[in-house]
Amino acid sequence: MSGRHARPDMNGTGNESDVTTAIPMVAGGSASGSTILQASGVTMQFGGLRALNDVSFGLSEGEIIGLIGPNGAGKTTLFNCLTGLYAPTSGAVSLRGNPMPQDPARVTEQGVARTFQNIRLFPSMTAAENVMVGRHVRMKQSPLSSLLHGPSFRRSEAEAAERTEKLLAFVGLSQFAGELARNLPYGDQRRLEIARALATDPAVLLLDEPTAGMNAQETEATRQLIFAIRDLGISVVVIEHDTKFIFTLCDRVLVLVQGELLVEGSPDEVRGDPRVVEAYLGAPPDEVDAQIHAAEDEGENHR
Amino acid sequence: MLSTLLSQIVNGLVLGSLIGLIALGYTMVYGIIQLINFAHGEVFMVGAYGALAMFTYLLPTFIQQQWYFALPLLLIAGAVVSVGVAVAMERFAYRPLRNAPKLAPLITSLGVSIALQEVIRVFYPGATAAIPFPNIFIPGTWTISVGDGVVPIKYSGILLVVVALVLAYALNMFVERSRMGRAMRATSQDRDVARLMGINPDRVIVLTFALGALLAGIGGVLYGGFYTNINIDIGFQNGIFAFTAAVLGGIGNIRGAVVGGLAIGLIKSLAGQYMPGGSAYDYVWIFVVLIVVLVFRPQGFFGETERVRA
Repeated sequence: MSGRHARPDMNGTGNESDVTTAIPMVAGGSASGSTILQASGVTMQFGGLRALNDVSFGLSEGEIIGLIGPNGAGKTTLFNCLTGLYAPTSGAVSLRGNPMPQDPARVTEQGVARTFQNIRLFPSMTAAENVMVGRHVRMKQSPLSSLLHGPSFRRSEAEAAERTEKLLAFVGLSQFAGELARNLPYGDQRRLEIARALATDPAVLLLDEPTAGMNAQETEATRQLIFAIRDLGISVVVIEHDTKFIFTLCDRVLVLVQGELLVEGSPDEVRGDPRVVEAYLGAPPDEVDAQIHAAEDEGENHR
Repeated sequence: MLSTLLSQIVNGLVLGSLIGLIALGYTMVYGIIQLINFAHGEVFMVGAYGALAMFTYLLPTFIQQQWYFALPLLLIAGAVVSVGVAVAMERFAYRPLRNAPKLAPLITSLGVSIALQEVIRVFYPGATAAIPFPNIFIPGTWTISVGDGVVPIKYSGILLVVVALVLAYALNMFVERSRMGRAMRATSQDRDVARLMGINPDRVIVLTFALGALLAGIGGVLYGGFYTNINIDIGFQNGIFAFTAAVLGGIGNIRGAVVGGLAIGLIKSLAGQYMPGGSAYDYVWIFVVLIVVLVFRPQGFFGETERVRA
C-alpha cells in the first residue's frame, strides 16, 4: 500500500513535471501526513442565501474525506470554492499554506482536480482525447514545433499518449480509448472523468458523487479505484449520498447541514451521532429521493 | 465541349480552394464562440492590401522582379497584417462582449467589417478603384489540349490550390493532434470545464482568430496573384461565399469548410457556364444549392447533429 512508490509507474517517462512528486513528502502513515488543503471560515453568500457558513476543515496528505449532508447543504458549493470557480464571500482556502488562486486554470496547475455531479466530459472527443486534455497543464509545446511537428513536439505528444494509455488502464477503460466519450456507458463516463482529473497530476482529487447512478458492483469497483488513487499519494474528498459507501471508504467524514459543518469525525463517530441521524440519516426514504432530484437540478444550474 | 467543361472545373477548383481557405476562419471561430464573424472577409481583404503595400512601398526593384524573393515576403506580410487585424478585432471588439447576448457581437462584426472597408478606402492610396496586383509566381499558363480545344491552367492557380490544401491539412493536424488543438476543441465543447483542465479560454480564442486570419491573409495574397487586381469589395464577396461554404460543409467542422468551399467554387463556375442566365445568375445557384442542402441536411455535410450533453 506504499502508494507513493507506485506513482512513477503511472508517469511513464520520468521527465515530465509532476506536481505530486514535487511535494515534500512526510514520512509516516497515509492519514498522518501534513495538511495539504485547508479551508478556513469559508462563507458563501448568494444574495440573501447563505450557502456556506464559516466552514473550516483540513485535508491531510493521503487522506480520504467524505462530505455528506442533505441536498442544498452546500456540498457542491464548497467544491466550487475549493476549485476557484467561486470566490468565497469571506474566509480562505489554502493549498500547502498558499492561498488558492481565484482562477480555475491555476488551481488545476497547483494540483487540485475534480469531477462533476452531472458528468461533464468533452462529449465529442474520444476517451483518450479527454484524458489528453487533462495533460494540458503538464505539457509544453512551442507553436512552431506544433506546426512543424518538430522533435520536441513529437516527444511531448508521445509522452502524453503513453500517460493516457496508463491512466485508461488504471481506471479500466483501455478498450474504450478510441470511443467518443458520449457513447460510453454511464458508469464508464464517471471513471473516464476520474482518469481525466488524474491526468492533471493532482495532489488533491475532489469527487462529486462518483457512484451516482451506479449498481452495487460498479460502486464496489469505484471504492477500489478510490483506494488505489489514495495509494498513489493523492488526497481525496468525496461527496456522496450513499452513506454506507462513505462510511466504509473514508478516514474522516464531514457532515454539512444548511451550509454549516455539523459534525466532523471518524465514520464510527459520525454514524453514531444523534444530530446526524436526525439531520440526515433519519429522513424518510421518499424524502431522500426528492432531495436527490433537487440536487440534480441544483447541479445543472451551478454556474 | 469537353475543354469548356474542364476549364470551368479548373476555375471552380481554384476559386473553391480560396473560398475554403477563408471558410476555415469562419468555421473555427464559430466552433469556439458561436459567433459568425462577418468581418472575417475583411481580414482576407486587408491581407491582400498589406502585401500590396509592402510590395509597392518597401521592396526594392530587384526583389519585386523576382517572384521567388517576393512571394515569401508577400505571404508573410499578408499573414502578419491579417493576424494583427484579427487579434486586435478580437481583443477590442469581441472580448468585451464575451458575456453579452449573441446578437451583440454579431452586429459588432458587421460594424467591424464596414469600418475595415472604409479605412482601406479612405487611407490606402488609390483604393477607390481596383488596383493591379503584382505577379507573385511564375507568370504564364499551362495549356492542355483536349480534343476540340485547350484547357488553360494558370501557374498561380496551381499555387493557390496546392497552398490552400496543404494549409487546410496542416490546420486539421494541428487541431486533431496537438496540445492547443485539443484545447481548442475542449473549449468549444465546454468552456468552464476546459478552464478547470488548466486551459485559458482567452488564449484559445485569440489563437483561433489568429489561425483563421493567417489562412485568410495568405488567401488574400494568393487571390491577388491569381486574379491580378484587388479592390475593397473582395472581402465582402468572398466572405459571403466562404460563410456559405462553412454552413454548407457543417459549421464548426474543418473538413466541411474545405469541401463546402470546393463545392461552392464548382457550382459558381459550372452554373455560370451552363445554367440559363449565365454568370449573371451564378450567385443564385449557390444559394439554391445551399437551401436545398439545408432542407435535407440542416447540419451541413459534416456537421454533427444536436450534441448530447452528458
